[in-house]
Formats: sequence, C-alpha cells, structure tokens
Amino acid sequence: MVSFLAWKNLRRSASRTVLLIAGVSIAGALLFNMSMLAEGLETSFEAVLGRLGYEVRVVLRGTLPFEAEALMPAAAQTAVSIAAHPSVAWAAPVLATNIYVLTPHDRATAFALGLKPELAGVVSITHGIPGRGLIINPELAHALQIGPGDVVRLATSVNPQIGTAERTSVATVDALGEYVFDLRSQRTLALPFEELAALLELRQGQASFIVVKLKDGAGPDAVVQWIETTFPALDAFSIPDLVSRVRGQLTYFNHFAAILSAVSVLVAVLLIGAVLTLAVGERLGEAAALRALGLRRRRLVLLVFLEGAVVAVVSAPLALLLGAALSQPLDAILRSSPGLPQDLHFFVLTPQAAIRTVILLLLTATIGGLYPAWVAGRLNIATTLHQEIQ
Amino acid sequence: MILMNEPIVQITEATRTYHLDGTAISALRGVTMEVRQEEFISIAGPSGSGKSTLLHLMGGVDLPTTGEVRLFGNVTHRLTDRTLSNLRLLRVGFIFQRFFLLPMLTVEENVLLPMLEAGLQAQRRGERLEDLLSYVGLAHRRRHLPGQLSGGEMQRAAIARALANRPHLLLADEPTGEVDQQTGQQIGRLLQRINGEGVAIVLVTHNPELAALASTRLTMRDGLLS
Amino acid sequence: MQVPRPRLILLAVLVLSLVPTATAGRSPDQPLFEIGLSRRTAERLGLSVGDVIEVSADPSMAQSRRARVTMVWSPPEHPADVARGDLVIRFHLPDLQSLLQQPDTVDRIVVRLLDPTRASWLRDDLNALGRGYDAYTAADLARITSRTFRVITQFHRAIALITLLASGIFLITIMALKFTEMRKEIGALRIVGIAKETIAFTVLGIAAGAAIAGTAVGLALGAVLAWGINAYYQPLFHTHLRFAVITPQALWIVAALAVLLGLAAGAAVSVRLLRQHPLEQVGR
Ligand SMILES: Nc1ncnc2c1ncn2[C@@H]1O[C@H](COP(=O)(O)OP(=O)(O)OP(=O)(O)O)[C@@H](O)[C@H]1O
Ligand SMILES: [Mg+2]
Repeated sequence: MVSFLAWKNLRRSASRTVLLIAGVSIAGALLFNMSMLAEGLETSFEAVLGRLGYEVRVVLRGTLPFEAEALMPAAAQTAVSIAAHPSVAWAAPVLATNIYVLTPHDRATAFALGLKPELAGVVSITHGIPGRGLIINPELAHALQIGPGDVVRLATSVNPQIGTAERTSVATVDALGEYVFDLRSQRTLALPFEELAALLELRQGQASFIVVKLKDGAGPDAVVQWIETTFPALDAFSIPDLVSRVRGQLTYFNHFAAILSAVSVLVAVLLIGAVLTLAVGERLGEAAALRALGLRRRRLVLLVFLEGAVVAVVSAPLALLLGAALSQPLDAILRSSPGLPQDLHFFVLTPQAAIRTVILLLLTATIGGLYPAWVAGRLNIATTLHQEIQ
Repeated sequence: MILMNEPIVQITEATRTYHLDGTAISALRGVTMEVRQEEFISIAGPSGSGKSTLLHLMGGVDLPTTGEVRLFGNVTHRLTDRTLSNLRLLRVGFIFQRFFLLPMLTVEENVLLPMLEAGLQAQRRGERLEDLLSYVGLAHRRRHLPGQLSGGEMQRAAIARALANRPHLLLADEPTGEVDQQTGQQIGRLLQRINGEGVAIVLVTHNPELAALASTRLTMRDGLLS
Repeated sequence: MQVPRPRLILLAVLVLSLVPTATAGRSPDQPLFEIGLSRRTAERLGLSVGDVIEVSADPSMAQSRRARVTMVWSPPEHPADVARGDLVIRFHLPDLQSLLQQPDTVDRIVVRLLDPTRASWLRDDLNALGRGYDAYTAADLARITSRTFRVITQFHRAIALITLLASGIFLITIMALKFTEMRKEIGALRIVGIAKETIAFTVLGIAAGAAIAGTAVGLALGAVLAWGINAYYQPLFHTHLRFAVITPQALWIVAALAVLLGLAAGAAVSVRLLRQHPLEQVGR
C-alpha cells in the first residue's frame, strides 16, 4: 500500500516530479561522469600499458620511466643478464630517438624505435610485411606520402649552416602499422635495433631502455627487486609501478572528480530533500488522517523514503544514459590535448562506475529523505488534525 | 476478545492539557465515560469545549495527560505505536469534518486503502468494496477523484473508507459541518443505519437534529461532560 | 645541431645524480662551475647558496665536475609543469656543454629582434631555409604550450554547462515549490480583489529577491571553495600559481544566470497561479 501511495503521490504533482527527476538525472549523470573520470585515465593507461606485451621496463637510475633521454651503457649485455633470471621469458633493449626521414622532395622528423624481434607486438601491421626495413605509422606515411616499398633516407642530424643531412643511411619502408603507445599525431617509425644502433653509431650495445617479459605466472615485484639490487645503476618499473607513477600526475582529475561528485550529490540531496519536505508539509493533514486510519508511524516514514527512492530509481537509468552520452564529447575534449597516447581515454565506462553511481543515487535519496521522514515520523496526529481543520 | 456488554471504550478521569508557548490549555479536565457496543452517543457543546479532543482520546489518536483510556480493553498509553495503529486500523473508523480523502486517489482507491493496509485478500477486498460503495450510494462515482465530488458525496466516500475494515466503533467529528442541511440529514440516516448493524457510534455535532438520532446524548462544557 | 626533442632538455638525470661533496672531487684542479638552483631543487636537495656539489651527466658520476651554488631562484612557473615537479639547475652554457661533452651544441637559439613586429616574417624566412630546425615566434610558443590549458578550459566549460543545467533545474524546482506553497494566500488575495498584475509583480519581486540572495550566498560559497582549492594545491605542488580564480566575468555570468533563472521560474509560476481559479486555490 505504501508503494502504491508513493507512486500516486509522485504522479499527483507530475510537473514537480518531472522537474525533480530531471534535476536528479542530470546530477546523477554528472556523478556517473565523475565516477568514470576518477578511474578512467588510470584504467585506460593500464590497458594501454598492458597491451605493450611486457611487464617490466628498465631505465637508467634517476631518469623518468617515459623520458629516455640518456643512453644506458652496455644495455645489450645487461638484457642478456636479466634474461637469465628464472622468472624472465626474455629481455630486450630498445632504442628510442628522434630522427629525420628524407625523401627526394621532403623531410620530416619522426620518433624512431629500434626494436628487437621480441617486441614486434608493440606495433600491429596494417599493410606490408615487416623485414629489415622500416615500419612506419600512418601519420608518417601521410606526412611524406610514402608507403611500403618506398626508399627513404634517415639522418640523425641536419647541418644548420648548410641544411644538409648528416650521418644518413638508406632504408626501405616495409610495412605500415599502428603503435600501441603512439602519441596522437606523432610520426613514428620502427626499425631493427641493430640498424638504428648503426645509424646512431652506437657500438657498445647502448639502449634507451630495456623491456622485460616475464614467464607466465611470474610476479613482477621479485624481478623488479632483483634487477635493482643486481644493477644499482638501473631502475626497474612494473606496469603497476608505472601506473602509480602516473597517478601522481592525475591528482588533478581525481580531485576534480571528487569535488564535482560532492557537488552533484549535494545538489541531488538538496533537491530531493526540498521537494519531499515541501510535499510532506503540504500533506500533513492527509498524513495525520492516514495515521488516524491505522497507518503505523514506521509505514508513514517508509512512505516518505520510498518517494525519494522511486525518484532515485527512475532517475538512475536516465542518469546512466545521459552520463554515457555526455562522456563521449567530454572525453573527446580532453583527448584533444597534445602529447597523449592515442588509445588513452579519460572517461572509461566500467560497470563499477555505473554501480557506484546507482548506489550513490540511492544513498542520496535516502539522505534527502531524512529530514522530511523525520517530520512525518514526529507528526502528532491530534495536533495536526486540529490545525488542519482551522 | 470482546465480551458482550463489556464497554468498547472506557475513559476514567482523563485530562488533556496542551502547552502552547508556556501557557497550559486544559482541553479536558477529568472526563469519565464509557462507550458500549452498538451504542450511539452524540456529543454537543460549544466550540473549544474539548469535543474533538475527547474523540481523539477514544480513537487512540491522542493520549490523555492524566487518567486512563481503555480501548477494547487495552490501556492506550501503554500500547506500542504498532498495536495502537492496528487497533485503529481494524476496530475503529474515523470520519472527519474535512473528510481528508486522499485527493490523488479515486473514490474506490480511497476506500480500498485501509483494506490494503490490513492485508485483506484481493477477492474479499473486491467484494467488500462493492458492498460499501453501494451501501453509501457511490457505486457510479467510484472512478472519480474526490475533487470531482460534492461535499455530501465526499463525506459518504469518507464513511465508506471508515467502514472498510468493519470497525466496531465509528468516531465522527462534525461529519455534517461542511454540507448543507439536506445532505446532513442524509448522512444522519446513513449513520443510523450503520448503528443499526451493530457498530457503536460516537458523533460530535452541533446539529440538534443529528444529535437527536443518538441513544445517549452528552454535552461538553469547559472540558467536562455534563 | 641535434634533432629537436619534443621537450626542452630535462636535467633530471643530472639533478638526481648530484652528490653533495666536501671530500670528493675528482678534478680539483678544474675551476668550480657556478650553478643556480630553482627553489624547489634547493629545497628537495637541502642545498643553499655557497654549497659545493658534484654534478655529472652520467648516473655513475663519471666525468663529474664540482659546482658551487651561487643562486637559488624561483623560475617563472608554467602551469603545464606544475604537476611534474621538475627540478631545474641553471648552468653557464659552456659549462653545461663541457659537462655533456657536446661542444657547441644547444637545444634552441633565442633571437631578439630590433623590430619585434617582424617576428613572423623572420620565422617564415628561417623555416624556408630548411636547415633542419624549426623557428617559432614567442606568440607561436605561447599558443603551443597553452594548448593543454585551452583543452582543460574547454572541458571546464562543458562541465560548467552541465552543472548550470542541473542547478538551473534545481532553482526552478525550488521556486516553483515555494510559490505553490503560497497558492492559498495568493488565492485569498485575489478573492479579496487584489489585481492580477499586483500579484504577478509581487511574485516576481520575491523570486528576484530570493534569486539575488541565493546568488550572493552561492558566490560567497564559491569564493570559499576557490580559496580552499588554492590553499590545498599551492603547497601540494610547491607553487604560487593560483588554481581557482574568480574572474569578474565568471562573477557576472553566475549572477546574471541565477537572477534570470529565478525570474524565469517566478514568471512561469505566476502565469500558472494566475490561470487557476482563485476558488480552486483556496481549496473548498
Ligand atoms: N493540538 C492542540 N494544541 C493546542 N491546543 C489545542 C490543541 N487541540 C485543541 N486545543 C485546544 O483545546 C481546546 C479544546 O479543543 P477541541 O478541538 O477539543 O474543541 P472542540 O470542542 O472540538 O471545538 P470545535 O467545536 O470548535 O471543534 C481548545 O481551546 C483548543 O484551542
Ligand atoms: Mg472540534
């Protein structure tokens, strides 16, 4: 009976209920968005890192994990030593540098990766067959109008006085591929590690960093520990380490999400609270009559809470739909900022985010219902009847 | 169990004092009375003499400040809200001057409400609803909202609702206060009929014609019965 | 010249391999470098002016040089770097080149023009030479480095829009509720014979009053929140940059919107109220 009454009460002031549901839905949508934002970047970052195909990244001690400016001496030998660890499947040095790519008519800079065969997984080939030549990404192909089969020259520097390339070598484009961790609009190419090392005139097995693939079932922590004690000049990061490093830089988004979540919850609580309080106030006479007819105090309180809950329950799917729809343009806005990996998303729709939103909305309705429910529960039947008849 | 001839309501030395901004208002100043089964009592008296207050005590809607009210053998101020509410739901029917029908519910929904709360089976609910609506002569208006009814019709709907769970006691507080004389007479006849079927009635009214229907006629003055 | 790196050279390598030294010093005969530390660097490493440390481009401290801190300064902060917390050391150019063993190598060259208005002309000329470098005017650079912030601003605008929508609905609902609460009184006023216009104006007046009062409270809350945000983030990121600023523009937008919404709600409600029959309003 109480649910029947709650439903009827909400329908009775339809325009008010519609406004209420609209308000709570929008607040809920914002809540959902913030819930997505709070973890989205981290989740997405983790997913991107997870697709790289390795678990541990080893860099020179003191350098940041994503900025390989300094070269690691004797990285090839170090990789061999690391690969000997029983938990390690393989360890491969990687060279990463900026390079010039020259065609007879044009020139562009590109981010060059020198990869060992083990790391073939970081690029997914879309055209052509990889060999000893270059695998270029679509941005680079587009910039220079080149594709598989074309021959280009690579140079590590250009003389600023006369504008000619220095230390050049000739290379063939073998294939076109997408890089897992490409920055948006970044031009990238990969070539065999040894080729890039030769071009850079590195003869002592230097590398920018080493990546380590673990055997199935092996945990990264022990290996990370072992690498850091065995090679004091090196830092090792597991994927979770990397994520937690990035987390520090994401505090802004987390706090932003927390503040806006709090604001949306507050708005929803106030909205539900105000509407229910006024609704209860308007209906005190009816409430007293219902009590006189035999409705228990608890049931009357339940009725008030139920009205809030119905609003939350009706608003929840709307909030989720609206939130999911809104997250797309919001994500697009943030993703347009420069220097971000292509596959990185700020808003990630996870079931947890949805569940959290629904729970928070129900909680909101309950908190919003507290005061009006207290008013209804405290209602003195005789006094109210007396006042209402005046 | 109610034994034959045992009073339904027994009020002993009941007082009721309201405190308003520091001043005490004695609405009832020691009332002792009984309501027996099938009895029809009318209470008259000037405004503010405590009639409504007395009715509220009888219905377990309010509690005495001192003294005691026994409702179907139970001392009201010793009951939990649950038991007291149940007594009201199942044994007592209330009719108010202002009807207090729920405006968003149709006539039949209003009448069904106490049966739903009492958990009556759907079939018995349906049967009883039919009986009640034709009893008060509102079968043709069942789907209408209270706002669409006349005062007399609203009052009859309220009576049907008060009878929904077959109470033993019907409490009516100026049920004809807001209707014209002719409609008032109609309602009086209806109450008489209800009483004839064994329901005890306490009727607060200023209307001497209506009061004349009662078997016992009481008058209140200054919080005391005379 | 080296290939331009996507970022300015970061001296993180150097900084983290700094070793405060008193006893060490591989080449005591070489003159001391003079270096400047950013305030954050000095705080992080516990150094102050006069301290002598050892610096090297190599984590193993090979080819290290001794350097004296001659200055601790606060570099102008760019919002983009705030969260990164980079440590910065300033060298004399030849010192750094010799430390890196890259003589006559720089990351960029800055050019001061006699006639600053010709900057873009010079940029185009330099780029046309195609010498393997890119030239930018200061305005270009400002635009490029602020791109992230334009994105964030856009994002904030979008969120603000949603928040405004939610709070607009909130405002209208509250206003509508407030006035439906007054329905009986208004009905009574009309029965007494007060003109519709008078009532409509009264309703609008009350709505505007409530909206203005609410806006004032809201702005005060906003100011407190902004203050709290700055008080929290400035020490967190060791910066004097302000994270939340109440601009006059924001102030006006908020105030105007709140008052307009309040008035709109008042208008909507008074239309509804005046359409109803007064007898219905007082209830029979
Ligand atoms: N809840 C209350 N709070 C304060 N005073 C009350 C309350 N209920 C009743 N009273 C006061 O108690 C006295 C008796 O009130 P009551 O309503 O019982 O009178 P009544 O006989 O029913 O009057 P009427 O004929 O006008 O309905 C009055 O003075 C009234 O103002
Ligand atoms: Mg009375």
